[in-house]
Amino acid sequence: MYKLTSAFIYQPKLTFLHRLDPRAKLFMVAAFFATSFLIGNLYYLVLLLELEALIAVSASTLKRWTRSIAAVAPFFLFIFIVNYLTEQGLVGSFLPAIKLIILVGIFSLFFITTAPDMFALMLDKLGLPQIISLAFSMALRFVPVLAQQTQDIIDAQRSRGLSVDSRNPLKRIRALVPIFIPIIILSIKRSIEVAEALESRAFDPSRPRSSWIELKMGRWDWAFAASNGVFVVLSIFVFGL
Amino acid sequence: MIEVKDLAFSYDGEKEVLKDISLRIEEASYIAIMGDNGAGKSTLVKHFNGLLRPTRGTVLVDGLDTSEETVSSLSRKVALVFQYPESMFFSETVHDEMAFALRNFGFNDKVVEDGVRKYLTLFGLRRYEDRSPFTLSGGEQRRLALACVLTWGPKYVVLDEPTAGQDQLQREILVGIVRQLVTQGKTVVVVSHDVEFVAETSPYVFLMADGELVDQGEAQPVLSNERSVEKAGLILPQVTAAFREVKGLSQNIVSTAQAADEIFRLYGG
Repeated sequence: MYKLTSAFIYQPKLTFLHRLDPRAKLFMVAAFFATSFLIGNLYYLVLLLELEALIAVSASTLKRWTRSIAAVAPFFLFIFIVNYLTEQGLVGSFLPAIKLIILVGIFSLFFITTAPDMFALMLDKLGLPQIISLAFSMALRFVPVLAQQTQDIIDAQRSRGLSVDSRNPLKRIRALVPIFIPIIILSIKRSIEVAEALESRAFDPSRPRSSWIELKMGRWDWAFAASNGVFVVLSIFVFGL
Repeated sequence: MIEVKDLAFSYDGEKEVLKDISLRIEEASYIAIMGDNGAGKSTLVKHFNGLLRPTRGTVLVDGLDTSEETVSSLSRKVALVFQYPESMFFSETVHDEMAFALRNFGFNDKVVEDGVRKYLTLFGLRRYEDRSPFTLSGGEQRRLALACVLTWGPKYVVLDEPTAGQDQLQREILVGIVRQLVTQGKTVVVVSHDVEFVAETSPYVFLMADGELVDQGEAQPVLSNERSVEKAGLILPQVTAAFREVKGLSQNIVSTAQAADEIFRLYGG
């Protein structure tokens, strides 16, 4: 659980990617998203994946990025097999599967290099209501907490003899009940506590809030955003749609 | 006996949270593993029933290597009660919550019923049998959580931070339960940073800091050793600190019972 969730959790570092304005990084996500869907060339998609790996290296986060890829490996296999069985051919089956990996990888890079506070500020700047941006950033911040809580519940129930890795699919589904019920109850309790804590500190989403940090697109941010636009145009020009 | 040999463990493959720990827990003994938050106490005890597997070294429970056994089979011997165990409830009734583990372990209906009734009575929960566990008070929920893991008669009982979130009355009840378990011949391992609770119950103490053992021994010499206690990120028991303020009193008193003896010795005639 720790390994899986850490693949999408912010890791503070001082690399170029970490210091970029989150809006500039959003251009990178959009560029990878658009090109991976517009260009159905297998060689291009493999190159795109390699480029992602290079970006991960430059952000000193290759290990976590690899974990995010490993996390979707079962889905990759599932998509590949389903497509292969529906007679899409080897390459035709590989394309949607690799697109999934590219998308998960680029979102993982975005979240590993963007602090939840910065993410909330970005959503504010993009014009989303304060309550929505707060909900998003808090959801992100609570991922490790929930993951730890889930792991604790699994450990506790396994210590009481619950078998979570039975070969019988029915037994596996039944084993989820003693895990999901405490998770749901604890999550509701926690959300009520957090809401009360926010209200007791005068949180009022109907009134505008001041911010200690103001997001500002600098020269490098604009340059990075523009380079992503150029990248999309060049990709389409060289590989076609 | 639980035997830990040169145990090292890392969650992420990078930072070791346990560093070459070696210790022995004899049968029918009462042990406390103490240290500050992040010392590695909970990580260590999760090795006892196989929830975690050593990165290096071995953990043997009655001669069985935990790396080669299933959690389910080890849990029959080693019951682990987590911090805030009441947060793991999910059944509709107190009775079903207690029967959950027994059914998982494959006991027949008669054994399940006998086990549930015995521990409902022992823990004073009989009248709540048909109630939802979520409607019990905090103290009753903690007692139920403890009762749940005792139903199948484990040889080793590990309590992770049993006093967390408990008021003074519940702590006293817990002291009674721990003493009762020790009297019954169970091996009880308490993981705690609550020096007062540990001092009052006088176990054999292991002190941990940053994934390493820093001291071990009987409660009185270990918990009155300022240097060791400080190294483990703890503070001296209140009674020890108070006695050290008064000249002529013993400097190694850690529990109220010892304090009473000392005062009686000096002033009781």
